[in-house]
Amino acid sequence: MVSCVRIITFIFYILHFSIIKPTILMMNIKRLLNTVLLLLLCHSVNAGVQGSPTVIEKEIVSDISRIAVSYNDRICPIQTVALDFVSKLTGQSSWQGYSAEEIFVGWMIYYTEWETQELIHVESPDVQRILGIEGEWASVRDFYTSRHEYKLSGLDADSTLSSEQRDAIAEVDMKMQLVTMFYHSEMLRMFPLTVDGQTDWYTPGSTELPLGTPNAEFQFINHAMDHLTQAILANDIAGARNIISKIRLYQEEKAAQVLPSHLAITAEVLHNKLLTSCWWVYLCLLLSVLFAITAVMGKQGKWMSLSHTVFLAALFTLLTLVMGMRWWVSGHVPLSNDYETLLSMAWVSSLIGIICMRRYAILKALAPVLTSLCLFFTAYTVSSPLITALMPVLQTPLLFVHVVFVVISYSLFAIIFLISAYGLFLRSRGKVSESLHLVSISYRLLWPAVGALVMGILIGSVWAKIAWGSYWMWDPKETWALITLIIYMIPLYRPFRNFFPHWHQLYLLIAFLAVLMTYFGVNYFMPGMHSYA
Amino acid sequence: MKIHLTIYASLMVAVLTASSCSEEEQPLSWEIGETPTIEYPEDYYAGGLLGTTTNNSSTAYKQPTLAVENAGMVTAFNEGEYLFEKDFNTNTSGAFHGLGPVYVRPGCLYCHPGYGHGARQNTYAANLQRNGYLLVIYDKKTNAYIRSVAGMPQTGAVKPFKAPIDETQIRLTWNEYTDEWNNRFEDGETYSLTYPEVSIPASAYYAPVMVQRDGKDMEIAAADYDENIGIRLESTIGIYGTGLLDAITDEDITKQWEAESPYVTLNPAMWDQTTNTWKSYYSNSRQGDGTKYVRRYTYAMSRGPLLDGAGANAIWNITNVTRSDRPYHYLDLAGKYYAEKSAQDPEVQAGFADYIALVDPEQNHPEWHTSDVASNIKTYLTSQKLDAEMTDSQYKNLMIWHRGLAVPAARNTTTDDFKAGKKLFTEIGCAQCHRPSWTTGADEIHDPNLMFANADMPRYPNQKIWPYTDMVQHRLFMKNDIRTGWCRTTPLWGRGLASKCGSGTERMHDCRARNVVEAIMWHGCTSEGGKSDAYHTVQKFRALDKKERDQLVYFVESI
Repeated sequence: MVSCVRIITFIFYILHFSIIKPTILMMNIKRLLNTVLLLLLCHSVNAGVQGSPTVIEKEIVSDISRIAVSYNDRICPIQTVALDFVSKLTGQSSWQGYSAEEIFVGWMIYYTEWETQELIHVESPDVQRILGIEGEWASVRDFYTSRHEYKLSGLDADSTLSSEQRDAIAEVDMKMQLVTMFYHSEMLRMFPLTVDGQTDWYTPGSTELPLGTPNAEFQFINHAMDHLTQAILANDIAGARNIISKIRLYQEEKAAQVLPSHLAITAEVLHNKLLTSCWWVYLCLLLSVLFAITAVMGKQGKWMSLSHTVFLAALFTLLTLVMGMRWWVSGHVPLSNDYETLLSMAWVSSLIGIICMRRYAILKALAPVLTSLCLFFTAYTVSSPLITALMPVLQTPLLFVHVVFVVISYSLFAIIFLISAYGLFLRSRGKVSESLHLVSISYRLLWPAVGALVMGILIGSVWAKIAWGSYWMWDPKETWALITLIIYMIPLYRPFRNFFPHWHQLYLLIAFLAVLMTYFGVNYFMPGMHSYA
Repeated sequence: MKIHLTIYASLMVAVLTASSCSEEEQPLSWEIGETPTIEYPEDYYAGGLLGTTTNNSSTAYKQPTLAVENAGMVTAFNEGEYLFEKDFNTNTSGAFHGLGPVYVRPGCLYCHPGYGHGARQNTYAANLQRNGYLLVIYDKKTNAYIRSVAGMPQTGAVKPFKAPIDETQIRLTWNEYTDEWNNRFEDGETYSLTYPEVSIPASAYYAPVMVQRDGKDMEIAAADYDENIGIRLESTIGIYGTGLLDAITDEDITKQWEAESPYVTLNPAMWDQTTNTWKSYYSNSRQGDGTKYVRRYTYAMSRGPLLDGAGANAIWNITNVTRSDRPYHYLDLAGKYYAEKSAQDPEVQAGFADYIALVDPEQNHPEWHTSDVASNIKTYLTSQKLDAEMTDSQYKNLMIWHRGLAVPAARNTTTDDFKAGKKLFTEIGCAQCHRPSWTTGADEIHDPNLMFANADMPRYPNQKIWPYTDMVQHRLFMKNDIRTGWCRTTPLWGRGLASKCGSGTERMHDCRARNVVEAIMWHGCTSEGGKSDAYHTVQKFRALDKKERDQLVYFVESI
């Protein structure tokens, strides 16, 4: 039995280090470096801006960004749409000092100016060559010849190109399709109208208004934006804000039941600003590392220790408020995609730190680090930080229960990983007894972690039966969750602890790769039915 | 802990509430009310205060004017728009019925994508989206249209009838052209000039090819066809703003012709330069009372007031959907050759009984149901008493829509490049033909069809508009030029939005120019039978440096 456990452990060890770990690193290292660079800078490294676009008054931009629109199956402020638009074009939430709202609103009014701005990120050298640009940034104009011919036309289906080239072309083409959507006002469905019991949201100047639209509503839908445009062009701030207020009044009259309140709009705007800016994440990461180092080195005085506690409490409070705002505004528990689950991991980690910090001082040091790291890695998720509508398959109370248990287990495994890493560090410094003490803490956390994962898998199976008709389908996510469970159950086996006293920290360190594979790796390399989480 | 949570929550709500509060006074109602006026350059309002939309999205060409709304004609506008947007079908009753027996297109959007200019094509087909081309088939000896097909020849037909021209035999090629400057500016920038060549073999015609010479129709044999018959293309232009142009008075257009007469040769078919008077007016004696109106629409200036203009005619003759004022089919120019050929065609004869049983099930027209099927066919096709397939109210709605389309506001009017380009536009002489602005008159409704009056239509009295056309015909002497060589100065307003609105981005009557520079350089021909009226302006354009040329182009794209 012991031999079997040793063999299995050894096999997993080989698999992780020889195949999975290098593969993950090789395929993501470039993206990792690019994202780190972009995140560090928080702005583009654009070169060659063709003149500065006209700047619209901040009050007008702010008011317009708070107008509610129907977008992606939910009612949200224009600011959310603007962030989605800009982040998909540029890869970040702002560009060259212009916020997403400034770009979006400016582009609505002064579109010819924005068509010359090089804000579309083009990563592929092949596409850069086709567009005839130097560097990684292109303007809308770069996509057309002087004869108005679209340079990428038909290339995504050109069989003389490799599949990688066609994929790269398709990816950039999607960005131009987004601009086309923008020009078709698809992102500005701001006028609700109910005719014959059917409520739809219409764009300014819509030509799809149903027969029977009353004259006053027709005139308003067709001309409100005209008047707003004129007011902006003439720099008539009061006039512009008056029109925007009228738009809100119109929405309140026509769609009171679904229109978010002023407070909800403000909450979403604040939420977006917080989660799309990165400076505070770096600050938290820096502070958490500083506090952790000073704590483990025993260099914290009374006031520093108090500051450390306040920092952890503030982090928890902030995340609680963010999660709360997200839950309230979206109308569903914020656990529906990889971004939200990572955010909740950050929250759970900070909660664990608060609960356990008195008993286990090491958790006070490591929990904020894990929280900050989770926030840092939200930039790597497929999902955007913006609030989205809940997919139909996720509209069930089981979402909350299943994901909460899984998030708790992943958070605990991550803490165990950090504790094990620190323990190995201490061991390397000859501090064996301190290292063993950390082992003890690891095991105490391992039980609830494994238990939570078991509950998560069980509830997930029940949910799978309801949603997909089968308890277990060997979906990649399910399979790797099971692998993770088996890997972490092994150390719970007392003989393992007894016979491998010096290996268990290394084991728990390496075992965390299974969590990474289950959480991230499966989404990228083995998409299946579970790919949204 | 609980107290801390309460404090945090309260603070957060307070912050959120404070953030969401506005200090501005809230309006009492969402209705727009009185149109606010702003201090802004007047050329921004390309269609005047009543006829401009500031919409610059993909629907910019589709917006109703303020005049439509002020007149309470919104519903009519929308209903008219449906007639424009939808295809007609071959049903004999129901919505959009009545297509055929022969047709140019099944609907309007084929020629007017995005409500704008047609797009350049490499082939010709009736059901090809964005194909705004009309075939211009003419006698090379007289420049007149041939008599055996319609002035706008049909290539579509409803069985058992056959298309007057077999479009599968039409060939369209594009040829390179080199101007006297070798297609190159002094600073080295080059441009490309292309022009279309259309060929339709004699075998593609259903009826014999007939032309009129010395007052008599004569057949052109297949062997003589190439020598005698010429073919050109003419593309559609946008529909927006046509109501504003209609509001310019006849007197003002006449004054423009008078003003230009001393300086340039005008079309002698239109204008007598010795007496400085019109040689030709538009009048309608068939539906109207023959009142004479100044010609103002189409390249050939073949139409007068809008309500009997190209659009009023096209909703009938493109689809052959009849109306109470047009209870007859649009067939060949002579009105008989297609009918005669069809009547003798055994295949048409074989299918006619089933066809006419659908069209006239109750035999309200016994002259179509006699024992002589050839006679039935001819009588049906040439009937002057067809049942109306489009009602008068539908037609009125369409004309309200047609007259009610707004012009997009000019863009970038306050930028330095726009202002510089505008200055150059005047300085080098473009504005002599592309006259920037007009002021409309009282806009009394003129309807040669005698169907509509002032109260029936949106109107644009006393509006300063910016169409950039002098409403006069000029000659550019281009290679494979427009038929007769004379062409009304096409309005330039709104063209810069063509790409966004999904309409053709090409310019010139046959879409030969793919951008503004090519369009300008096509104004500079001297070796195709004469010197272009705009030649000196093109020389001045060539003398500009690159930045100035770009500014001029920027201006043209912005208006």
